[in-house]
Amino acid sequence: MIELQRIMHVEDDPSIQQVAKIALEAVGGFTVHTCSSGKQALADYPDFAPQLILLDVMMPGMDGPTTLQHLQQQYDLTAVPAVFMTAKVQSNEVASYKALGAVDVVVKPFDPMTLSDQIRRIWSDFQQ
Amino acid sequence: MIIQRVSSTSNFITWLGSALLLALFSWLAWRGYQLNPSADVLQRWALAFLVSELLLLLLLSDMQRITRRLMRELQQKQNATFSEERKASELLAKIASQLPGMVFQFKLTPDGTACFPYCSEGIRDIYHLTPEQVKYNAEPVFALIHPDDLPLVQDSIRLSAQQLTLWKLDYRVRYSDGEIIWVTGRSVPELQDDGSVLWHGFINDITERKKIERLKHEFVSTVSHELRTPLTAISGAIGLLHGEVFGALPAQAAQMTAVAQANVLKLQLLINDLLDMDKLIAGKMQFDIQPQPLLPVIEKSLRDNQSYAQQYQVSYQLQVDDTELWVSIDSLRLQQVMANLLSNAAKFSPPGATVTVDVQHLGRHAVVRVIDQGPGISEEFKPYIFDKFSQADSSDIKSKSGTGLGLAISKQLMTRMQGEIGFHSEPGKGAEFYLLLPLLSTADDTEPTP
Repeated sequence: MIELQRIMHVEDDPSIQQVAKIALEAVGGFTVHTCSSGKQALADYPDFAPQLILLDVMMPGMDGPTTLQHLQQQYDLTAVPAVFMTAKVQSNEVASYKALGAVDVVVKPFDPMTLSDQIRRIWSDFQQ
Repeated sequence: MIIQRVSSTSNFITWLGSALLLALFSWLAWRGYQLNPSADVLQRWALAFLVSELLLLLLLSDMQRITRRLMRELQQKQNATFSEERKASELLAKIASQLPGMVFQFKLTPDGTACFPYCSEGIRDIYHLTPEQVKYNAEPVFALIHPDDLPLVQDSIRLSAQQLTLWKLDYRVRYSDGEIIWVTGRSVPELQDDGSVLWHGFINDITERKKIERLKHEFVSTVSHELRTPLTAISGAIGLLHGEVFGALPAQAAQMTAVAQANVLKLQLLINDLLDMDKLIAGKMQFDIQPQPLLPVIEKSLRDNQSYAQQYQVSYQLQVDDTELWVSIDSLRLQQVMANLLSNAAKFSPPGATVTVDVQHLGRHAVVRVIDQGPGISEEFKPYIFDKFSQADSSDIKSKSGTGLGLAISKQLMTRMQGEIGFHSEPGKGAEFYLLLPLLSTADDTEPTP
């Protein structure tokens, strides 16, 4: 199994950007590239070449699902799972996010100590 | 009219009677003259004729007088009734004009035609029509109902007519200038002798109320979302500090991060509860109801709440008399209800106490009891326990954390799953909360064979 190293995090809130970066880098040992908007994500994707994309759902301008759509249109994402981050969701909403191309949903507020484990689990489920 | 007829009839009787009397007495006079041919006989019969003619005329004029008087009295009475009716309708119009919205009678005849036999002036505000415009034909009203709502309105009227049940509906009216208002209607149907149905009811403008409802909903969801973003950052930052990602903390600092973390969690729960309550009230909460065994859901709830109970040095003990109880539930929602009852029981129990969770088969129901050894529920608080934001806060009870929404949400959730929630408690002797869920019969097709 390929080991997960590079994660692209798309999130508009600077505080959450910092917390997630430390949670994933310091706790999980990943390399995180943070994008503040969907537009930046589209521009930075080829250079960083992430193995997994973590997307906030609600963002001003281009939201998470739209960003994912554009990424899928421009790049081949068959080997790159996308995970949405959003507030407490109902089970039927999770299904609709999955229909939009996400492999899973991480609930906000997330626990920074277990976030990396959760991402790693999603990664290994995706690999199988 | 009638008086003319009476007088012409009596005239006719006068002429006919006079002619008959003349013929009768002429014949009698002729017969008498034949037997005794003298002028005396003729004189006598002529006198008799005159007297009887006079009597006839008197009788008839009397009759006419009496008839006339009767007719006059009748007419006076009729006039009085008319003015009383007019007074009543004026009274109704006066009262109706002071009501918000319109009051009406709506009539549906078996051939499908409809009309508003009575309608207050309020129809001018609701439909921009006059009562006269719809007195014999309801079509102008239906033409103004929002096309998207029209089938709903028509179906609900049909149903109300068929089953003779209360008609009650919120729908939209669209004016010719494109303006849309929300109205609420309510009326009671009555079947008439001719097979038509007559409703009495009212329609009121609720545009303002709908606007406020929408604003409230938007407010709650916006605020909750706006609160969540900083809360995510705060809980994340504190979580990293408390997790000692940046090195070990001095003991007091660790204590402070623990306090901060516990309170962030409390805020999170409050926001979740607020959103849940809002969704439940707006009917927007989705339920994923599936037939399933009850016990695993209860066992999972106990496991998930174990660490919470440990904070209060309380332990849970499960008692089961039937392990094969199948129910139709949304397992996550039932866990939410159980989490509420279990955390309440732990919070209110003295340290070292045991909270008993008892799962039983009771007739056609499964019963889950959560029994604590806490202070119990005071008589004063009992009626309000399932109300929103209710928490007993009398001085003899220690203040406990919580949102005051838990039991209100639990009650709504149980109702949506066809279940019930209730409690027994005597102050000082602990409390027992119970959940009742209808059992699926063992012969049920939805239950897979084990």
